[in-house]
Amino acid sequence: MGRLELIDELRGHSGQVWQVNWSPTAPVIASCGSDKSVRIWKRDAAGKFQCATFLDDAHSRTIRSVAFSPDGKRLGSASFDGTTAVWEKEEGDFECVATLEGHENEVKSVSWSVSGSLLATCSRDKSVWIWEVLEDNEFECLSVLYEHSQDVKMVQWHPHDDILASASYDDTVKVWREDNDDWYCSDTLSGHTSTVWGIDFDPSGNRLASVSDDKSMRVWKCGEPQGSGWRKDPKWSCVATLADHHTRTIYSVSWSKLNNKIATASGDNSIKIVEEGSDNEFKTVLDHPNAHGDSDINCVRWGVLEEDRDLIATAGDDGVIRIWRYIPL
Amino acid sequence: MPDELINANPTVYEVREKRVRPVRSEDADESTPDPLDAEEIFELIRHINDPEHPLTLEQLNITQLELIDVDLAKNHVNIRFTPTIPHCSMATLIGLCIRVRLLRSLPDRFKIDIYVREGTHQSEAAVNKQLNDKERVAAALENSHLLDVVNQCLATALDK
Repeated sequence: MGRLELIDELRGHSGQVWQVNWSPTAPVIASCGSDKSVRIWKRDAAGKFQCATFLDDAHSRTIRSVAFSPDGKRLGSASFDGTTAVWEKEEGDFECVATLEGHENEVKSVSWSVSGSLLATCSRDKSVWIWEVLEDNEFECLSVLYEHSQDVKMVQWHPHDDILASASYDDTVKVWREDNDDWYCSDTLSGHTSTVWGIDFDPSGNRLASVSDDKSMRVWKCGEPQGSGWRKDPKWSCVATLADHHTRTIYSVSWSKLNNKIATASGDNSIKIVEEGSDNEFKTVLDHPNAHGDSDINCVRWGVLEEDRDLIATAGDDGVIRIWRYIPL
Repeated sequence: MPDELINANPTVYEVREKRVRPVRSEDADESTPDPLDAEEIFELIRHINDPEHPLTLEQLNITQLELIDVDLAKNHVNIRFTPTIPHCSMATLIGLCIRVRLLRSLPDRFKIDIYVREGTHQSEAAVNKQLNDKERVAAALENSHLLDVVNQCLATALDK
């Protein structure tokens, strides 16, 4: 078994922290939570993260999700108030440049496509929206996708292509593709027996990990295009199920694009790391209990810069963000 | 409140005026806090008011001591409750009131699961799923109208 070494604690949020995400271009982390604020944390010369920016004037309710654009210059924040705010870095500070409205109620997640030209949001209103980023901070809604039968918990873009995955309270994951400006559901991944809370692609984008209220983690693999219709879409199949991976709801999963390991975080207060063996079996190689004391852990994210390849950021109901270094056995 | 009551004539059960609990060996030791048990949880929730009747959850037999389980080793509290009728549209609200009461009263370390008692509600699975989705509970509690209703139901429990 490997181990986690706690290297930093980021305190400042009052109330639970729902999500953390790393900037793709700098040693910077964004976080959000029930205190209706987004905080941007920068690593200082001593290697410690300090809160550099505090954004609290855009949302009137909990901020559930926050994500950097691929160039690190923009930030999206999704709120229970039904809106998604887009922030742009101007002279070192973030300014709210657009507010995306349309969802009927709580927005649960926001994600940028790899090119930065598309943004996806999803909501308790059961829909997934795809927005195009135009010039002068104009955002146009390209598509409103109503195929989930319940609350949509998370959206996540593919690491290389304009392919979107969404996870829902209806126990499924859906994969969305575009054909001539027409966005459609190309596959529904069924197997989980309760809410799917988190999803993440592997480095190649050909596999997807999902975690659920059913306490299991599943790994799905994209097959060859098939079918006889005019759309020959690849279908996904479940290639691994880690049943009872945690003892309570699993809220988050992160599949490192640098070291290929999978981290999960749960309402059982623990962080786990899963590795793929040479036999293609997925094995738990670390179980770190009480990572946020007695609190649920809502989010886990591997570092995205080469120098941070062994770092993990986690966010808990205790209002704290923790930075860990993974030390394999 | 709807014009017509969901359950206009509920059965009212007798309650003990004051519960006398048996003395436990650990109660004698004044230096340590008494461990949480089902009696204590029951005491917290039995006076919660029903959303549509001026009666408590105990008087309507919605909550019972026997349907509360506490696992101290795992910091886990499991509560089952019995809606007055199988199609009660108030079941989610009642469960939410129980959850809020315990969220406000118990130490943060406790994980709380709340379920409708098996076979007592026609939408049992849906009610259970919603009551145990912490994100939806958090969103519900930011709804000021709903929070007012919950607080009204809890007011009678707080007086005790």
